[in-house]
Amino acid sequence: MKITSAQFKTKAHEALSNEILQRALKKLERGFVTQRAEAIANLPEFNALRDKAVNIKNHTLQNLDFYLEHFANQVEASGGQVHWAIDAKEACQKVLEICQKVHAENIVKSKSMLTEEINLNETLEKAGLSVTETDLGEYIIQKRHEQPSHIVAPAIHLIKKQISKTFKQIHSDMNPNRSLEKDEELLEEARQVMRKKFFNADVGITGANFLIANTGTTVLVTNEGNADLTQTLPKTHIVVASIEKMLPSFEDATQFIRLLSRSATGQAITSYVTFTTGPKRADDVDGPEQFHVILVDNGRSKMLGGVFQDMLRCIRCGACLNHCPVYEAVGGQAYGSMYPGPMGAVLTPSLFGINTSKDLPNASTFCGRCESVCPLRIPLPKMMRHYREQEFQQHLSSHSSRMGLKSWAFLAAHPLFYRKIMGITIYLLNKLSHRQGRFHKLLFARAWTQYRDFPAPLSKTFQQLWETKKNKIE
Amino acid sequence: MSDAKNQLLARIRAALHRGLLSTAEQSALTESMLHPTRGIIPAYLNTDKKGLMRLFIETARRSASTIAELSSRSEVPNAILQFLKENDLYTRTLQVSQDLASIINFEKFADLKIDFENNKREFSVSITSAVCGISETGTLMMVSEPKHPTLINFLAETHIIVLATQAIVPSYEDAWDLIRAGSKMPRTVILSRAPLAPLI
Repeated sequence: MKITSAQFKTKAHEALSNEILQRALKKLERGFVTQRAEAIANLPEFNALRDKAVNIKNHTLQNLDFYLEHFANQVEASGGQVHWAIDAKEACQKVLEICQKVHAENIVKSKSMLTEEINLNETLEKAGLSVTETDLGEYIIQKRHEQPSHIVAPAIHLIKKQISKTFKQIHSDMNPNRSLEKDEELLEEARQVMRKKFFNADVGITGANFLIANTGTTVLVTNEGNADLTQTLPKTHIVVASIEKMLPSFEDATQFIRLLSRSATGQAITSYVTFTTGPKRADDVDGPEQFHVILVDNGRSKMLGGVFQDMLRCIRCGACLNHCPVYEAVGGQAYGSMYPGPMGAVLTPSLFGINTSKDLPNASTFCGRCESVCPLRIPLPKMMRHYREQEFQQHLSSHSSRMGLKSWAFLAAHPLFYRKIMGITIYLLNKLSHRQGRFHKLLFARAWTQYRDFPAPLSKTFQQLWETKKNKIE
Repeated sequence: MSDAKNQLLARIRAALHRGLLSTAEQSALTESMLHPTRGIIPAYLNTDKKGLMRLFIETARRSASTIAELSSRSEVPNAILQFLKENDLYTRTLQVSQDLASIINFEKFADLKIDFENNKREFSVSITSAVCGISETGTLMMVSEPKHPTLINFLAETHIIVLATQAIVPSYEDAWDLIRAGSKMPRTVILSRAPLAPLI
C-alpha cells in the first residue's frame, strides 16, 4: 500500500461528508467498544496483566538481538529457514525469491499489516504471480482496489449492500439472480470461492501476531480459520514478521493472548490461536514441506533506545482506533496509511518519516482515551506531541499554524496580556452569539462550523470569575 | 552469518548502546526461557474439578458451541448419530481422526460414509479428539500428529470433538504443561473456540 497521508485533510473532509461511511462507522461504538468494556469487566486481573505484558515486552526489546538469534536457531533446528531483511525492498525480494524457487504461480495470503506496509502484493503481482487475500475483509477490499480502513476489520467502512454488489461484479460466473442479502450468504459464497484458491495455491503467506524465541514458534490469532488453511494447504509456507513481535516463551505469549482479543474485539479468545513450529514432519499427513520466516526490520531498530521505543510494544489490537473520536469521525482510509488512528499517527511517521505524514500526529484532540485503553500502556499522546515538535522544528507545518503557535507562545509567556486579550475575545464572542451559547457559523472557523456548532463562551474568563468569587469561597 | 542478519543485529545493539551480551547474561536469559514462570492467571479458575467442568461448559456454550454431556465412552456413537440426524448431516461424509477411531466403536455407523484415511480435502463433518479442554475460555487444544492431521480441524463445516472429562484443565498454562510432557514440540498446537466469527 502506498502512503498517502499527505492528503489527510482533504480525505478527512470527504469522509465527514460521506453518509455511507458515517453509517458504517457507527458499528465501532456498538460493537468493539461495548464488547471490550464487557470483556474487561469480567476479568479483574486485566490491569495487572497489562503491567505484566509491559514488563515482558520491555525486557524482550532490551534483549532483542539475543532473542532473535535464539528464535532463528530454533526455527532452523525444527527444519525451517530464516531470512533477515533490513527494509521493505529486501523483505519483498526474499519472498519473491522463495516463490520463484518453488515455481509458484498462485499465492494465498492471510491478513498481515506488515505485508501491507512493505507493499508485498505489488512486488509479487509485478512478477506475474496471482495473489489472493483470504481474510474476508481483506479479500473484499482487494477486489474493490481499496485500502484497509481498520487493522482488525479492514472493510469496516463498508455496508452489506456494497459488499453484495462487489461480489456480484467479481464472481461473474455465478447466478446473477442469487440472493446476497444475508451475512451467511456472503460468507458461504466467499468460502466457495476461497476453497478453490486454497487448493490451487503453491505458496501460503501469513504474518505472525507473536514469535516465540524458546521454541522457534510463530503464533497466529484469528477468527476465520483462513490463516490456518493458508499455512497448511500449500507446499510452501512463508511467515513475514517484524522483529518486535518476539516474546521469550509460551508463558509470556499467554499473557498477551489474554489481553489481545479482549482489547481488539471483546472476545475472551478468538476462534483460533495456532502455534506453528517448523515444516511438515516425516510422519505428518499434512502441512507445508517448506517453512520460511522472514524477519523484517524496516525502521524498527531506529525506534529502539529512543523516545519512540514504547511504540514497539504495540500488538495491533486496534483498541486505540476504536476509542478515538477522530478515527470515529473520519474512518481509517483518510489517514492514507495501513496504520490509521492514534497508533498510526505514531507508527506512520516512525516508519515512513514525519515529512510524509505530518498531519497525522495533529489528528488528535489529546483526550487521552487511546492511552487509557491501550493494553500495553503506550503513551500515544506523548509521542504524538514529540512528532508535533519535530514538525515545528523542521518547518514542515504551514505558515498560518506556525504563526498561530508563535502567537500562543507569546501570550503564554505574558500572562497579564493574555488575560486582557482573552477577556476582550470572550466578551466579543459572547455578544456576537446573542447569548445563545453557540455559533452555527464563525469567521476563521469554517473547518469547525461546517460539521458542528462552535461553543460560545457564556460570560467571563476563569480568572475574571475567580476574582469576583474567590472571597466568597475563602 | 548473512550480511542482513549481521547488519540487523548490529543496528539493534547500536540502538541499545551496547555490544553482544556477555556469556553470563546469555546463559541467564536461556535459563529463564527454558524454565518460564507462570504469569497472571485469572482467580476465577481457583475452583474444584466440578467447578472447572461447569466453567468449561458455560464458556464454550457462550461462544456458540453445542455440548452434549455423556456418562461413558460407549454413549458417544449414539450421541453423534443423534446430532447428525438433528442437524440434517446424516448423509454427509464424515472424516474421523485415527486417534479417535481406535478408542470409539464406530460399528454403529455402518450406514454412514466414514473416512479414516485423513487425507481428503472435501468433507462436511469431522470427528476428532482433543488434547484437553481449557476451562478459562471453553477452548479446546488440538495438536498435529500422524493420527490427527491439522486440516481435519479446519476443512469441515461441522467439527465434533470428543473430550474426556479428565482432560479438562483450568488454564492455558496447564495445557502448556501437557505439551511439555510430550517427547517434542508438536508442529502445530491449535487453540480452538469455534465456530468461526469473521470480522469484515
